[in-house]
Amino acid sequence: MLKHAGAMLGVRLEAKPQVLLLRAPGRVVGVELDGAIGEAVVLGNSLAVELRVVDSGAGFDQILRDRKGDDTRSVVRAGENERDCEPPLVPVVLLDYQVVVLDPGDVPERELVARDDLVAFHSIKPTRSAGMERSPGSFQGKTGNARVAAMSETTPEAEPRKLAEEARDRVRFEEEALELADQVYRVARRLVSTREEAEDLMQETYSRAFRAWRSYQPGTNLRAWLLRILTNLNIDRGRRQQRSPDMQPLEEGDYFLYNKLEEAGREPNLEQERVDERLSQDDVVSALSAVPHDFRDVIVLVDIGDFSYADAAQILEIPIGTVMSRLHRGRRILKGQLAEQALSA
Amino acid sequence: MNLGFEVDPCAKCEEQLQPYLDRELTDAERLEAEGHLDNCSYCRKRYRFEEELRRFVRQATVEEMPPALKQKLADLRTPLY
Repeated sequence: MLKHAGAMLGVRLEAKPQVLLLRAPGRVVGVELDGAIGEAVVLGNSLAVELRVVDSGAGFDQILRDRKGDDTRSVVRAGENERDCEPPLVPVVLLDYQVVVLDPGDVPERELVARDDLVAFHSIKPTRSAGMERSPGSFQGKTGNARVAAMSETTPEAEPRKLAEEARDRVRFEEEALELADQVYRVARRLVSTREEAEDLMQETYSRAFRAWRSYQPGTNLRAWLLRILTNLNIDRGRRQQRSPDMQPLEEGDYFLYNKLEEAGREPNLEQERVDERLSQDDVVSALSAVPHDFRDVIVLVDIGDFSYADAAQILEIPIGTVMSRLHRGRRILKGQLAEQALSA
Repeated sequence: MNLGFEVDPCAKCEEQLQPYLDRELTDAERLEAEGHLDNCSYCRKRYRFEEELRRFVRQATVEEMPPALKQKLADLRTPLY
């Protein structure tokens, strides 16, 4: 039998053409088809699932009991999100392998102990082709990969496989993108003036990202990809059509703010001083928002988003030299603002 | 401050301040800047100040994402059925 640890989930296959997504890495999923018992194992961190027949004789309920003692609650009825229902009535299309997803994010904290019991089903476009019905004896062997013969006969096998692979990739993409949401928000919040704008922008960005996920190239910088969408949307909103006020950068060099404070005699031993004793959080926020958009975007990406010049150039679709010059001017404008705040304090 | 015949090293160090803190200098440039900083308290103070200022700006401008928004974003995923 399988050595994988983790709870077992009971799944009875029905002929409905749906692909089952169960977010359950490392879990074993029990599958019954025409009296045969199959086990689907989530492979490593991958969401791909290998399905194989392990027993065609014993009853499915028996297998469940063997695995979980008397506790057979580990089944959720798809579409109803029911818990504690009788096993096992989840309609799926049987593929060579399936993508199985258990979504911990949807489980309230207090229910975490029972996480194994809760299964979230994400649908992908059903394959509504004919001949999806199962036929008896459709398993090709007792220990080989499970297949549905009827499906293979009338549907190109590649199609459901492709769908499952695509679903797996998409789910992975969605998870990764959501994990970055906090970081993306921090940048978004400072690219716009209000929290409401930032929230709208985030929703538009994620909505577009989830639709356009195929154009993301795995392995590249997803956070930068998301922010590129976000900054484009921000531009689309027409913000850039309002010309930035013609704010002249200071002619002084980068030591300007320090020198200014030192000249003012505010603190002769400035290096010992904590900046936050002189400037409040509100001072900084209002100083930053006083920096014209073109310059502020670069500062926000580099200083708050911690992006490299090259990333910032890609996100904003401007040459790297422009990133550097805007950063240079922008920081001086920011420091000019901060100097005003600090010296008027 | 060294007002040398060719290039004022403090002026050069000042120019390198931003790319230095952005970690965008080449290794040679970085070593050059650090070599100067080791011997120049004038520049060192200003570098420290800038570093501290940046840390403060970053910290002061952080606003965490509202939990409700996080949920809204999660809801944008492929719908459950």
